[in-house]
Amino acid sequence: MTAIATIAGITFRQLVSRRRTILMLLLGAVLVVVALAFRLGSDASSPSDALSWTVGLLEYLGIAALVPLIALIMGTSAIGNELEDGTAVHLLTKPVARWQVGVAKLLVAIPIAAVLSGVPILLAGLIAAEAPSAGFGYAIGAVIGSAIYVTMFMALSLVTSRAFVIGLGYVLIWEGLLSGLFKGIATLSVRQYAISVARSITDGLGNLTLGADARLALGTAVVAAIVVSVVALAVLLRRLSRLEIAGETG
Amino acid sequence: MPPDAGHAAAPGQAGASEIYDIGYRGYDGLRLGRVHATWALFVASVRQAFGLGRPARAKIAPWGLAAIAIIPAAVALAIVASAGPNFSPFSYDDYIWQMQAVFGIFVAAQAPELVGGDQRHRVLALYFSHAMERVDYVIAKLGAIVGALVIVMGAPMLVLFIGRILTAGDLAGAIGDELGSLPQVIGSPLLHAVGVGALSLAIAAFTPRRAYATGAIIALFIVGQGLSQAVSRLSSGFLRDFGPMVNPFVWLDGTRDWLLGGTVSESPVARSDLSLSTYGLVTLVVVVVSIGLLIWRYRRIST
Amino acid sequence: MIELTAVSRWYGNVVAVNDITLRVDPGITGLLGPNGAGKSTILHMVAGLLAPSTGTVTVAGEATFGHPSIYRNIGLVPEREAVYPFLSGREFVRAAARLHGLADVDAATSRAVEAVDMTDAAGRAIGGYSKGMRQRIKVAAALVHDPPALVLDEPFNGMDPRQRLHMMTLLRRMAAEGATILFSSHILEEVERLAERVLVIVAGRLAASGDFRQIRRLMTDRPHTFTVRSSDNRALGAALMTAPAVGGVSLDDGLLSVRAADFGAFSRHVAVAARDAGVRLYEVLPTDDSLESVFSYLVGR
Repeated sequence: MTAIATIAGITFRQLVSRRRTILMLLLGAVLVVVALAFRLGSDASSPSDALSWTVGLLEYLGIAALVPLIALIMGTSAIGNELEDGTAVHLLTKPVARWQVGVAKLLVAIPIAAVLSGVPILLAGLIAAEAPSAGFGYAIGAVIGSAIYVTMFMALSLVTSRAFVIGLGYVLIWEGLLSGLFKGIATLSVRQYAISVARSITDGLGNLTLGADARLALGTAVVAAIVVSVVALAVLLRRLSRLEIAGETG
Repeated sequence: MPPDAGHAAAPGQAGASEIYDIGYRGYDGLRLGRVHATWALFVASVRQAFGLGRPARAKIAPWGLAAIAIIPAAVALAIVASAGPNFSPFSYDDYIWQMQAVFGIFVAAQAPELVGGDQRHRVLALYFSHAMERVDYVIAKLGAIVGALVIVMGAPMLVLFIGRILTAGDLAGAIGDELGSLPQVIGSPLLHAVGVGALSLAIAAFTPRRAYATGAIIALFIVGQGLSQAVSRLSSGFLRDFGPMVNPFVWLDGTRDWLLGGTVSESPVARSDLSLSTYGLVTLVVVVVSIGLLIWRYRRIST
Repeated sequence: MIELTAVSRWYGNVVAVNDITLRVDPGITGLLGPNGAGKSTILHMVAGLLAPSTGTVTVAGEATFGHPSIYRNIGLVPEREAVYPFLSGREFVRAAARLHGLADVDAATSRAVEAVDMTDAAGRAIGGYSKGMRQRIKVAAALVHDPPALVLDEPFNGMDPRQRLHMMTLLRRMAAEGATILFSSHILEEVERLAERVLVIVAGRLAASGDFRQIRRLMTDRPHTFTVRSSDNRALGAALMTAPAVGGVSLDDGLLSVRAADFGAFSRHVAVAARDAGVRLYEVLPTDDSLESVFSYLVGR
């Protein structure tokens, strides 16, 4: 247990570096600012219009943009940086099982990503719409999305050194471009899982029927999300346990 | 092997001074000037943008993305060839807009390659101690990223163009038809390349760390795209008209529309109340400011 | 303590380590070889960071790769300088102590930091350390749990002479207390000065092992050279030339150089020859009995 705590502590201080945190707070701020601008600008929109617009904002700018971007930055840095600059050796040459190293990093990276994207989404949702249902619903969707994304991207950073770019390709091309063209891709899109969950919760809180319009039914989304998470976690732990670090000069 | 213990007067020993002729001579030959140096850097940088001259791993990102950018054009051609010209999912106007994600990732991944490495490994002093001025360095790098983007954005357009001509029944007539679209085929990639390239390079030039540069550039595109989609459903207002401007592809599309015609229905440009010249103005301002920032950065950078 | 048995490691078509069997016992052993010879690969296999392609690598009888429990017995000082720049030196060593599950973390940390003479600087962030300081703090973290074996990859890189001396003293003290120390270097002077035993690695193979002077004796197909100072070099040279043990004699600037295939026979013969020729001997120096000559011979083979 102390081992996990120690590693988690180091990882936390590593991820919450000043420059990185400021960048991500700025991104979150954009969302909140837009919500504010909407609230202050549009005088004549009815509560239902406002809610519908808020949902759009939280979906397009929150779940589809903020959540994956922050998760990408956190997930690829959590272990990728250490592998690249060689400090990983210090963690791996200790009598600590490799899976504990992986778990420790997840336990830090996921909450940080979830907070950095979830809180702005919650705030924006509360500001832009009268009813709080969208804010909470999408904040929870953001947390779920962050967790899955971070696990995936951490696993990815153990597979390739260009995890950031490939992760970008996944988010923008697979989940963005192709998903728009081929509807079937939704089953393999973390974004859609998050949206499905978000809409269902918003429906429950606010007595709406957004869930009906979601690309994925809640049941499918939950099952697929679990499968993807388990696979990502398995890849992460397995790759970590077999990780080899070669010397520089041989 | 010669024995090493104190032999005859070794170099450095007291009383022994000599000048060693190792055959070094100064260079008296022709020196190609600034222009040539700048051109050489430009060519080298374009090669760098595509990972040429480096191990295969460096080629994956640029070539992979360029391929992804071209595939839909090829597919569209296949569709047209079999089903006729009315069924094309892409036109010249909206191709770059539809594929903006691919181009965004390309520039986010490769612009830092061009300017980050030199700062990280501190080789700028080497460049500036030769015929090249600091401005020349900026010109060469800017030219390179714009050139690379023109290739990546222009290739699919070219595929569409040539394909359309070849798949039409009447070759001569087709050439005549398509020739009218030539300004779009050439102008659109050029315009987008300059806008996206200048801005991204300016961002990348401010940090030697590749991760930060790529992150910052792509954050711009991602947030911009999300924002423009979110505000698109507003009926009017400042937010709807200016919000999407965070995404460079929006003001570039507006400028394209203004200069070359052809409105893209999915783009915020179609929905906004702004006159097209506004987008042109924004483009001009951003490009000029970006180039200015680049020159300022490299004037000030300590080597 | 550390054993490699028929170990090979390849990356695709490139063989980095080629069928090496060796054992490292308590004391200081130097792993010597040119760059790219496979030293780092061997050390990383010993440290459990690489798996051998064939063969077994064990520390205290336990295979190294995939068994984090070996780290109770071994400490690694890696070559790459990178350490977490945002931690202070003390925090870094402390984290290492905690990860080792030590009972008294603070005491162990203080001991380790003191052993490397970093007590004053331990409170500062590692990001501000010099190269030598970073190296020392890495050593502190590696020995915070008092391991019976310490493995160091190019430990003296970037150290100034004073720091190097300090490190050597530390290592000698540890070895005197019974530790097994294995370090790699391509700098002959360091290995010559510090190592009790030398393992010479060339192109992935073990070229020689043992005390380097004894290795030199074993290199019988290579004549030894000696430098002799005497009262009459020319006469002595002429006299020596008649002996079968002597291969060649040369006279340069008043110094007599003698080449002899048989070290022992020549040593016995030179005094006799000098006495018979009526020449006084002032100095007889074997001039290539250095690790450098051993090394270049082995590398050139």
